[in-house]
Amino acid sequence: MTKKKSIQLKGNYWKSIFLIGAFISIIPLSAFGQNTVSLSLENVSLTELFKAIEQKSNIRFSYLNQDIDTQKDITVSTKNEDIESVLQKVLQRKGYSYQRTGNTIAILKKNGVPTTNSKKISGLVKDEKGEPLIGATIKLKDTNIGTTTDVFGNFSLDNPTNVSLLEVSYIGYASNVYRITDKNNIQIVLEENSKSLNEVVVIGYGESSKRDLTGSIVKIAGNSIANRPNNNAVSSLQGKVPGLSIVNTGQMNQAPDVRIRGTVSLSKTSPLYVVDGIMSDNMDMVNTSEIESMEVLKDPSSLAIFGVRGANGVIIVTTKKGKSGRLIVNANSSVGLKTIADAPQMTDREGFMTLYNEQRFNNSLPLYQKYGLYDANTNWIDVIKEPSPTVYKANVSVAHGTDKNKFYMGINVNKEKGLILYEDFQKVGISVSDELTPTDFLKCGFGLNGYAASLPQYHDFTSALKSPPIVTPYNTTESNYNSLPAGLGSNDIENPLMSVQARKYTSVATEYNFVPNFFFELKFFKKLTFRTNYYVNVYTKQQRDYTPLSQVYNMETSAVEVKNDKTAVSQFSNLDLRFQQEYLLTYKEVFGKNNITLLGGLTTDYQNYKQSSASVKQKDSGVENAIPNDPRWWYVGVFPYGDQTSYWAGSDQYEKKTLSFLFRSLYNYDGKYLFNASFRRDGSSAISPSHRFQNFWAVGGAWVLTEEEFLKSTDFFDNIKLKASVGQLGNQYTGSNYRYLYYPVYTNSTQAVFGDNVVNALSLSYQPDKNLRWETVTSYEGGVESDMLKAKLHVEANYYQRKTDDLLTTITDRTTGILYAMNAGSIRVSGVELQGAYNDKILNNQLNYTVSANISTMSNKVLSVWKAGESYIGGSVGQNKTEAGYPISRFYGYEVEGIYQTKSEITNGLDVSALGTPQPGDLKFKDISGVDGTPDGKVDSYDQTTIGNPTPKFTYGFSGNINYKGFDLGIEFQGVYGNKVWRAWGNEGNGVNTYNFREARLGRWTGLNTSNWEPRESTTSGWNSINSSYFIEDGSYLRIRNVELGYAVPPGFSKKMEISNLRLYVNVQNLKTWKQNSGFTPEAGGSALSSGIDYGGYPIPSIFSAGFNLTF
Amino acid sequence: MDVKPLGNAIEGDLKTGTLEGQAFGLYANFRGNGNNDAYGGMTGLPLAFVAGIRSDDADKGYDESNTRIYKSRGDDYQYDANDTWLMQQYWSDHYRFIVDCNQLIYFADSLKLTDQPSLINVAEARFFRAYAYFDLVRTYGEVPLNLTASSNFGSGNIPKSAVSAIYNQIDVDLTYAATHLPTKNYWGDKYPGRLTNGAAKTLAAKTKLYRQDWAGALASCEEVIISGEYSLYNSYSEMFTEVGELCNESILEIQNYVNDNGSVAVFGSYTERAGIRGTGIFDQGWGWNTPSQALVNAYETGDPRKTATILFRGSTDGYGNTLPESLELPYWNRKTYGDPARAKKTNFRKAIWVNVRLLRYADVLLMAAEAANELGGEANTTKALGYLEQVRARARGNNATILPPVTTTVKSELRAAIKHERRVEFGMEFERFYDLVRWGDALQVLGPLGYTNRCRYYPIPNSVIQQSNGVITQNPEW
Repeated sequence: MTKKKSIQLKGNYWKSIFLIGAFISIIPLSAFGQNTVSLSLENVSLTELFKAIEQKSNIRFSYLNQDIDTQKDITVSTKNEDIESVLQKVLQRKGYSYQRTGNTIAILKKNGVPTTNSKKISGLVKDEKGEPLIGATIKLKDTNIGTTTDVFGNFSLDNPTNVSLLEVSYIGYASNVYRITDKNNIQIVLEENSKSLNEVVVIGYGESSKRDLTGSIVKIAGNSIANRPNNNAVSSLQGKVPGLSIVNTGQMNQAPDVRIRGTVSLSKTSPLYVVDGIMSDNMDMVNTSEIESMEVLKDPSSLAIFGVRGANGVIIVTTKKGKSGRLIVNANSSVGLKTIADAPQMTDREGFMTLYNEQRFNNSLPLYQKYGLYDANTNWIDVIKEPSPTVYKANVSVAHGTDKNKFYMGINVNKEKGLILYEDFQKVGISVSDELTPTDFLKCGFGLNGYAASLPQYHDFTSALKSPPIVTPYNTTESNYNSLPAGLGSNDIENPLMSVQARKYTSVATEYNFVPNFFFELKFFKKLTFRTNYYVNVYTKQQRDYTPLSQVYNMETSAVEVKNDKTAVSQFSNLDLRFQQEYLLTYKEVFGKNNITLLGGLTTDYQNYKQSSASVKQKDSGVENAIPNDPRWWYVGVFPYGDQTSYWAGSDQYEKKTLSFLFRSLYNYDGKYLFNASFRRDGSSAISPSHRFQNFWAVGGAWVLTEEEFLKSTDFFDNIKLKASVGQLGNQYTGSNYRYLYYPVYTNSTQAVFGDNVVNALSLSYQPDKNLRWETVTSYEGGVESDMLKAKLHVEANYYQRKTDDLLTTITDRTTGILYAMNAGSIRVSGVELQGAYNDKILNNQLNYTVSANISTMSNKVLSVWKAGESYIGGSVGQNKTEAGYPISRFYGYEVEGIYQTKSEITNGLDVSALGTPQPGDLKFKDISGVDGTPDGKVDSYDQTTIGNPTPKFTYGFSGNINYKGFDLGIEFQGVYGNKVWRAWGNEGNGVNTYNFREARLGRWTGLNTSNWEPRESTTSGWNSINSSYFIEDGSYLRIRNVELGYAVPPGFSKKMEISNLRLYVNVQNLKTWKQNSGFTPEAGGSALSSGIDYGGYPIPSIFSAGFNLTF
Repeated sequence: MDVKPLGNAIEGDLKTGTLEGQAFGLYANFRGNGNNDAYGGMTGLPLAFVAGIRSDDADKGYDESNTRIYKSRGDDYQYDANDTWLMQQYWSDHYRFIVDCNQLIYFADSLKLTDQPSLINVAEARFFRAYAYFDLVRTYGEVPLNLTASSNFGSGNIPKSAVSAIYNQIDVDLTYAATHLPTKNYWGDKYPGRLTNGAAKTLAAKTKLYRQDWAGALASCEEVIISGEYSLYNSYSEMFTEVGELCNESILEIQNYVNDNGSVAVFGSYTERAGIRGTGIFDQGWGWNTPSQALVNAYETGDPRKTATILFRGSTDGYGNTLPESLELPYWNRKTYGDPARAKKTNFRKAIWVNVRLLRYADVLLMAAEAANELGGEANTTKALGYLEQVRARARGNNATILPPVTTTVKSELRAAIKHERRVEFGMEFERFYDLVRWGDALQVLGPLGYTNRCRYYPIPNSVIQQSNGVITQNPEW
């Protein structure tokens, strides 16, 4: 590029930057120049002069000692004189000249010949496994001269100024500097970043060396989770990050329940996701295979910069980008099969008959007469489960880059079947990015993440667990589904096979999410960076549903029963548009031993959501008038089948704005004393004008002991950092009913009826509190990080405490029935996180292994709710109680101490009349308290107590990896301990219908001392369904979360195939779970006020997959 | 930064009709929302419990283990102040509804609205407030008398007022309502069934009857009678079908509506809660509040009101279907029963479109008869016999062999005849329990079932007492 051209270009870019509304301030050049020097030297040699200049500036000299005059005859005295002019004078006198490249000055003999004549250097860059690193950046230190490694890891470049140091960097690996010794065969081995002390982590609105931070950020490399058969990459972090608790669901494309450092809000528990800068409630727009890295931010000093969105923690996701170097093509694919590992044991025909006969006998009903008619032995789980639930993943990416332009494009496809018949899911994703560096001071780029997905029709196993085994699912003689027997499910559950099969593929749902972004970055004098980011997040879902005609065959009446005689169609579509912009100014400065990075910025967020839905029914009943069961007809305007008088339509819409100012300073003195401070001021349209803006802040400090003289000399410690931080963060979630907290709307949900005249009523949806503010979370952290034994051993320990005040909540005033939105109540969470990792190489460095472990405790206490003595009741049967002084959403009920064995035990026992009249064989509840707080010989409401806590005492994970001669094996364990799960399935019926029994019920009480836990089989009293510890199961478990065995095909073989890297692997996820509860899975998530309830709906499968990673 | 809700009105957006919109809200909340059971405490299952199941004429009904506790609470009078469902809902929904009424009245006051439509809206609010307090005073005795529309949290936490104070307020509200509510004609075809001054006078008569204000009750009843606005519907049984909704006898109904294809459905929860618990077309509801054997036995031989009130297992439903023998209970409530053909057409299995009759002209006549008999004297006794005979004659229809006219002029005999007539005329219509209590017959009739004198009042929910911090105290006998 000629100089003229470059100036023109510059002009255009300047113009465009002004156009986009950026502001620029000019700072005088001299203030930051490193081109002057003050020296006072007497009788020194040339090399001594060079060293003196090197000390006072960032100029580095390059020369060969043997070529340099060693006479100590130089005397210099300058004050703020230009370095080059100083040099010129001295060198000229001594018969040398010089050539400057960047900050490197090569000393030349007078004839212009370098002091050394070797110019070309070459070498090879490999990783620790000995595999070549493709696209690694090689640079002569302090120059702009550089290159990248080719597909075999080789590089070569000219070294005109004889720089002696090489800088080598590669994303995901620790950058390093090498002294150039051998010019032709430099062997460079890069270490993966995870072991690096200088790991660079992405923080909010920028990135930083982890070493310079005072908080706790855990970084996970994308390649460690890319091969997992999960749609949602967060699922793959389970057990890997201390303080991050993940409760998975087995349903495809459903987000797990993710909580960082416990529950601190009543309304929202999930963290904020920041995907390549855009803030979102999920990370659906990015495919697991496109992830470069993920960072989990937990502590106040990392989170305060996110202000009102930071309280629940932040997960930052960075997708892959192009790198300088040659074209790299990557292809990955895997195929897997899911299996249900722990299906609940329900009774078979024989067991069912035993228990049902006994139930009817105990209920004083005649024995059931229809076993002859219902002569099957059906396992309903087997009937509706998908025989081959496969998971298929593939992605191809192309990356290409030069110094000026880095391009990346990835396309991925996921195809998956659910565990139940006819659940099909497909997703195609794309990730594109391009980064342009037209001049030294300007960088700009754009990116696009997105996907299109075809969603499954979700089902679950709930009714399969309830349906009695005596029914044949499908009646081949009648060509119809059999109805469930009267009194055994016919009233409230459908034949499960009919549910999934008769309505298969009657929902066409697709969603699209595209997130384009672009940025401009201007650099002034290497120290000041101005960056603007623009993000658009477009999400839309389009759904069409069809209700087919349905009928069942009733074997008892030998008649076909019509369940639905009118087909219907409904259509739904929404559009969620978000626009986020950021203006950021970053300033980096080093003066002496002081290093400072300042960030200031402005960000706005705008969201506009719209949805509309409509439906229509067929005109007259009957098959001949039905809307056809073919997607072609599934439109609301269907003609001529649609009944125009049956049209229904509705809509929902809202918009939201936020405006935020942010500031952050990262300071360290000599890498020894660190100080971070951040501040954010957030304003939101949902809050009343008088409280619209609120401030959030954090400060953190750290002391790196190993930089002190007294520890510097020890070999044992590489790094010890003591750190502490404190801050105030916010929570802005208001729930879907309260989007305009400040403006309660008139609800249109009620109507008055006068004859056939339906008129809309008006009532305000709630009473607004004009003083409403966001929740405030005050958060503390203290901890220590240490690396020992030449970075082989890493240990980290943190203590945290988070307290939320002014909980945002809606409460109905029971004295008036008025609903109020208010700030009330307080919660505290605290815990300890420990993690350690050890890695080493043995057998001549051929075997590399890593072991790591982590454990986190979390203890949660509600300090107050809106009023003393009040509580929130949650859960399916009010089993979760949230009240001051206890853990959030604890299980609440009576403590079972056994079973009444005899009548006399009841008559001579405690007074239980407040609860009813038990019979022998019924549960016996404990007398724990009374009116005055002590046991009073009565069992009544005072005796309800904490019977379990859905929050674990601790969660943990440990793993091991070994690499040997191209083989690698990794195994990860993960578990939780000390939580309880409420068994909400397998409870026999609702008094109207009897459902199938859990197999454990075969051990019920049948007479004196036959059982002291499983009550008698009877449904005549509600006694045994009173909330009690009978429903509590231990939620602790330990799981082999992941096992992966891989083999890298040797380079010798792959080179012939023009392949730079080929790895084959097999992976097993959830190989084995050691659990205590009887449901499909011990994992039962939920919301803040209702959690830990096992509805028995859907298993978490084991997934066996095999695949390859291929790089050209 | 100021962003207002999209497509949804907020305070200040509506220039006109806000007051009427709020009045419509009262009708909606009085009915309750059957979809989510909001305000179900006004006229939903809690009403069936306090006014139906507690009587000797209705049982708790379908036997479900997890709700069996309400059998002992309702049928056996084992009242429970810790009930967190029905009676909690009954209490809190009544007070919520009262605050709704207070807000409308306050809104009109503060805007000094004196135009006729506004005065009518205020009168509607006052009628509903009186209705709610009448419910509360009958059920609990002394209760807090909240007349404010304060928007402060906890503003309803006030001490209880004497029974007489509650009745005074009822009188004030109903007097206002009787003055300002229009006649039936005023509403015409646009708002059939909307409140009238006749409704206010009928309710006033009933509240007076409960206080043995015989003269006052008779006067109020006769104002309604003389107005000529209402008359007895010719067929008792047809009156409770869809055809009889809002007929000439109707004074107040909970109006439910489902259009022909089921795409519009606005309804309360009562009819579904009371519907037959069966399968197929007889899967109409929860099967709560079912006719008792005592009610079946109460009818005179041949009284057609028996089969118009009660559906018998194994017999016809009047729409061409036969109730299967397999149903758990022998007797079901016919006054909430809907035509299965219509259920099929609308795709709503439960008969949610059936209106619930709350006040009708037969009640005016029988109240007048009772008050006149109690006042005594020949003229009054003659009046009483006449009013009673009107009701019996309609029930008798063209069949002269049944329900002979009552002729006794002996006060106690006539009283017994009127009590009997109320029982069978209003079978399954929420009158019986309170009638027994106000007549002083409850201990004698219900005693064998577990009733004691303190059972005339239900205990106030303990949760209300606890959260009041001692401001609201429990009923003395509980």
